[in-house]
Amino acid sequence: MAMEKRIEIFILTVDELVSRTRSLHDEGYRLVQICCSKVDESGKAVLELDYTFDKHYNLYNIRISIEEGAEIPSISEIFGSAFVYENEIHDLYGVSIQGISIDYRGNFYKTAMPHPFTQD
Amino acid sequence: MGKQTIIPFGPQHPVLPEPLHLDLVLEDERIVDAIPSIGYVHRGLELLVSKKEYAEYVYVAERICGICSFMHGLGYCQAVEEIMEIQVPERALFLRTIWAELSRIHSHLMWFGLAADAFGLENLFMLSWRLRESVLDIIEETSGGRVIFGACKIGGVRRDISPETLRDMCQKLEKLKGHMDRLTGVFLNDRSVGYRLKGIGVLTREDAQRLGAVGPLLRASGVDMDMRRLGYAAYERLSFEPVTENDGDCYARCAVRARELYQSIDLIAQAVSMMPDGEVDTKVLGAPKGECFMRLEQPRGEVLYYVRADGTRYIERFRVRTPTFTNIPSMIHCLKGCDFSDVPNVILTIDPCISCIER
Amino acid sequence: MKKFAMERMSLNNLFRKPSTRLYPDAPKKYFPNTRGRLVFNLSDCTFCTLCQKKCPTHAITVRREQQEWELERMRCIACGNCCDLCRKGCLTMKNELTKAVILPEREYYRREKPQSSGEDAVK
Ligand code: SF4
Ligand code: SF4
Repeated sequence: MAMEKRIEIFILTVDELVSRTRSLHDEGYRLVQICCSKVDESGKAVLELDYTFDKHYNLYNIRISIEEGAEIPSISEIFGSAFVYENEIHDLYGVSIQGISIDYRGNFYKTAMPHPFTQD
Repeated sequence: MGKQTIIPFGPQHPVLPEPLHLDLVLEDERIVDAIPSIGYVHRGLELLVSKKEYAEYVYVAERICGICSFMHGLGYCQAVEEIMEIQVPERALFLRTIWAELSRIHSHLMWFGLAADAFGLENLFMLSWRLRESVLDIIEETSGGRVIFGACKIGGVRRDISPETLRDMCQKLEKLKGHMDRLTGVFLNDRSVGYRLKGIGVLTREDAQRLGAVGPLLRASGVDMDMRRLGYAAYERLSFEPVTENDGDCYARCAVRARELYQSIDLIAQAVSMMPDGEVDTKVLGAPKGECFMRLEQPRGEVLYYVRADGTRYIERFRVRTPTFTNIPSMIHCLKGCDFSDVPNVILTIDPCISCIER
Repeated sequence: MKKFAMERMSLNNLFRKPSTRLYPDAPKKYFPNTRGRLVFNLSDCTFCTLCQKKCPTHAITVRREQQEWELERMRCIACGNCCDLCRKGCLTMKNELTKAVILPEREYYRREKPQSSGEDAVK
């Protein structure tokens, strides 16, 4: 079966994110998605952000780990479509993302409580 | 420059029976901006994954959306199978392909109806939904459900289709082609339909790529990208070329979907003729551990599933990135600059599926 | 290419038979495979609680001590998972949908005398 292989994820720090994204953009990659998941790391809640890029049907993944309530830079200047994901992550997980090209300021998801995905 | 007015559109709207809310910023009759907001029917299905056993979540995954229900089940199963390294029997792969293509046909026919409804042709709406009904009958006959197939499970499929039914199905689809000719003939050749579609909501090739459009929306702008090329299920062994158009307007999106209908029928015929004999499922033991991204081509475009499992019977994180969500930036882009009366048309040609967004 | 496609279609529609059925008089035909509604056969049930454990919506409650089997009909999504799993084959899918009537929310089945031929006692 020619399916996607077991995934390869490049773990980066928050500072490297923008520069790596820019170089991927220049190589012709396309942003597929940004996914946020809440994981427990030795008792402390950590948010993992996976950035997935694609070129010629091959995936390239970047992962950054942040603490709850941390700030990260936006990549929507580089990939125009990133703003929906970033707004989603902001509304559901409460991550504040600096410099989103179209920032709905928490009004994208109409949820009954703020940041529902961080609750247990 | 005229005065700016904000008109709320949705979540309850006669032409768009989907809970999407848009604030349309108008200057006279022209849209200058559109501000979407969603979350009106958020169901938390992604969180539910940690409360159901992984084998049972298939039934929940299928209920993410009623139109691509089979695809959601399939994507979830494929992701778990990939993590657990399960070899799915050949026959099951072909059956999955057939069901996936049947849901593509029914989704596109439904879209034709809704699009006709959006520009006010009730007659066409009824006609395409009648054709869809015959596809739904085939689905019900083979899988047991009209929209929720319940056919996919981890390790294979839940029921087999007998050779006679397969033959019948091919004949029925062949007959359906004649009816589809009439339907798509009206959409593609009628003058009044053309007025509502041609040159409206243009998305150029560059914009489509920049804004990350997927599916028929992207292919209508001339980009040849189709996740079926990844060769999941049995697509590897079937021959097909992604349907593309170059204009990028509403008419081109309509034409892409029209041609994909025939392509799907052709793919089903190919799959039936190549169908191997044998088992349709394998036994699944143990629990998944690992993580994986899985991509499929839904009727609306590329969908991505992310599954992370920690070796228990409950999956830790499941994420679906649905095609409609990715198409929101393109939708906003298309809306800018078009007339207020074209809003329903433009939104519908993106084929929004809000229940997909609101997992 | 084709001129007057729409006009031709509209004219055709004027003269053809209706495509719809007169519903209550001509009911829908179900296929043998249709997953319609869950039917429980009390007489074979061993109250093993397997169906309760494996139901994705927790629609079934089995109380082994009381020999009671209970289905919350509105929760059941007719997935057929329990039918595949029950070793005694006492759960089946009938290829007919539930009629649009008001049913009791919960359906109880209780075996009155243990191991008798099984009279359904619906509360
Ligand atoms: S699985 Fe079958 S035998 Fe066991 S409790 Fe359920 S219905 Fe009874
Ligand atoms: S059919 Fe599915 S939902 Fe209904 S009782 Fe059985 S397992 Fe539960």
